[in-house]
Amino acid sequence: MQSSGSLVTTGNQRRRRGRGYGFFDRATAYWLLVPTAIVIAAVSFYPLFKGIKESFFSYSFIRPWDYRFIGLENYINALTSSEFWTSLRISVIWVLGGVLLSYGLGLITAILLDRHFPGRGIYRTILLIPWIVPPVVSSLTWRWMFSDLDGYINTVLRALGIIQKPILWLSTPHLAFIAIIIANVWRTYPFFMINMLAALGGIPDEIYEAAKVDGATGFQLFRLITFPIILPVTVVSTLLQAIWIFNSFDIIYALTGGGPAERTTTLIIRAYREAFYYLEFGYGSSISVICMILMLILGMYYLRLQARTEM
Amino acid sequence: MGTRNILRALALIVVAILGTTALASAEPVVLQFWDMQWGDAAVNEMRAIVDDWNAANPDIQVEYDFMGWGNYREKLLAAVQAGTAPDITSGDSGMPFLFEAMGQTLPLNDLIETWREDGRLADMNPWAYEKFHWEDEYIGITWQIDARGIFYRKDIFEEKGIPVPTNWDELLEAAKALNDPENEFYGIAFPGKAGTYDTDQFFMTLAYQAGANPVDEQGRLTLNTPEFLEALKFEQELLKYAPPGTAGYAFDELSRLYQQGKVAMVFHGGWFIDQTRKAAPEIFEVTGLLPVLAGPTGIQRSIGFFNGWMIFKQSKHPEEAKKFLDHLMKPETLGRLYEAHLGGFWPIYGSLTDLEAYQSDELFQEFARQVAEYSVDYYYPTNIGAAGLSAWGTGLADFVINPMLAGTVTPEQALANGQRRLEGLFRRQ
Repeated sequence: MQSSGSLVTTGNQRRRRGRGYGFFDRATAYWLLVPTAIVIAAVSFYPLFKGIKESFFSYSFIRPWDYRFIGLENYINALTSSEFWTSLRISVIWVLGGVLLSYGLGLITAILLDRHFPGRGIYRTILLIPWIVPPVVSSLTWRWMFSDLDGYINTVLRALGIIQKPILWLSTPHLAFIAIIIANVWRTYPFFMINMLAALGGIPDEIYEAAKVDGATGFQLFRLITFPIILPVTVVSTLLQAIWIFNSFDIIYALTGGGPAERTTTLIIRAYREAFYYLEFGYGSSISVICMILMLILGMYYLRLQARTEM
Repeated sequence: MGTRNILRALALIVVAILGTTALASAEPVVLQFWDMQWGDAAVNEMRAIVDDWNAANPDIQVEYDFMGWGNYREKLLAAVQAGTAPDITSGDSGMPFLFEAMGQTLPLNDLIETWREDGRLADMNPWAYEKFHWEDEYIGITWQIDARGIFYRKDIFEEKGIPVPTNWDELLEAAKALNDPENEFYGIAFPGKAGTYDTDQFFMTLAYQAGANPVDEQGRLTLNTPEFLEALKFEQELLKYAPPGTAGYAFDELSRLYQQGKVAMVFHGGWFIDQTRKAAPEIFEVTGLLPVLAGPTGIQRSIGFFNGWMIFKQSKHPEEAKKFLDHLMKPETLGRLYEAHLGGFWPIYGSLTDLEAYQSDELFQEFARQVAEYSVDYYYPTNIGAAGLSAWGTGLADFVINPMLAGTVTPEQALANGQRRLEGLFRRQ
């Protein structure tokens, strides 16, 4: 295939090209990479290493005289505090809830959009909007939507006679958690939709037609053909989304501020508060490093799966 | 290249360097001035003030930028760490203390002396400068007071024959009598959301009226006192007559509640007067301001944040920065800002309390009187716990008030949690 040949470089091509360039050509190429490497080092690696370093220090902005190396004390304090484990539990549920629901919604919309019907392109564009809208805008919109004073959701439910009194979405602990998950699912499902749509587009119609001739039902088609084929994309996109949701901050911050009663205080919110509200930069860094380790584990798993998918 | 050519080239280089130096010396000093986003009107007026200054002072040019309330701390802390702090900044009411703890504030003692000599200090609310008097240095200067009060519906009080409350008992009685949840009308509304500064302001108003002080003589946090407990229990009592969603409300929600006619009394900031006048003129006509309440021991206090400006020690142009700050602190300059953000900024100068703009409505006049007589902030009467207070952020809302309002802890547990979580910030050298 001409098109894929132009985009994908095979191992043989790489080897041939490698022999075609001399030492000086390669050196020039490396020199040209230096500015990029410096920028990446400055904006990514320096803050990262500084954060890791500070996590081993007693470092508070308001107690500069108390700056000293304390080894693992910040980590021990974090791992032995009940607040940390509560936030970790909240983070895990936040990620699982967010990923599962947005995957489900993304898959359903992708299957629907994979069919041929008039105006399909318009629907695709409309359904993509939540992904395009800036997070701050969508967060503030959802804050208004969930309001018990004049929020859209309560207004509609009351107009339909489903509820008599407004639901206190943002001030009741368990409902606030559901509210932030709903808002997050709305924002993240288009990512799954696009990925699943691309994966579904790669399945030849002939397979389905042959299965239908053999008497397969709609559900069997999905279970035995569609799902196995889109599984690699599912796994990879799910892991990626899990990392993003774990690190997401703005939607919780705008909707609940981590409350009520800290029931929406994820680890990221806690790390932020410790560092920038209470100015305990060392302790906040230790929580961030723990988050980073958790995400690294997921990231490594993602890379392994991606490598397997590409083989 | 011959010797003559080399000499020519050298001469050219020398001339070029001298020319560049001469040009550089003619360049104006450029000051960076960061202020908070106090609202569009205030930002526009500040921009106009800076433009006027720049036009009149070609040798000292000011670049003005404003910071959002959601990330100003990160922005300032990052700039200080990077050595790129602005010359002058505002921030929250504790900002100079925060940066003093980091050794970053430039003393303003000479400016204070100037203002003492030209009479400005005598006209100034003493707490405006005493608040920032720290270890023999003035590390900042208050330029406006951002005050809170309790507004009420005069028509409803009159209709029900309820006297205007003057103390806690009367407030509770009024809230109870006016509360009508069946018809979604509530006695009183106050903020209770986590992660916002709004929430601690009502509680601290009650705490000061109960005689509480957040720190002891050594500057240690003292949330676990009977006075704080009394204030928190009283807030819990008031919650019975407040909207059920209180634990999720900040000032935005309170504005809508009151302006939609759903509540009889509301705790809010001074800017609420002008906001209501524009958003709900019919309700504004029947709005009054409660007197500053007397707590159980008879103490009358209201909260007003004495917001300051400071100059960073990192400034490369400290003298020019002081000149600009001196200009900003002139009554005529501040008067422009007070009028632009009517009710959002209250005067530090006695001579500005009768601004013409305040004469437009008795609410403004009464609020201005209350601010002058009763307003204090969390640093009053002594700033000994200032570093901790400037760093506790929304801790009081997050660990104490919001969990209590959400019903997950008792007032005793809430205060114990707050003490445990926040006392580390008040450790001193």
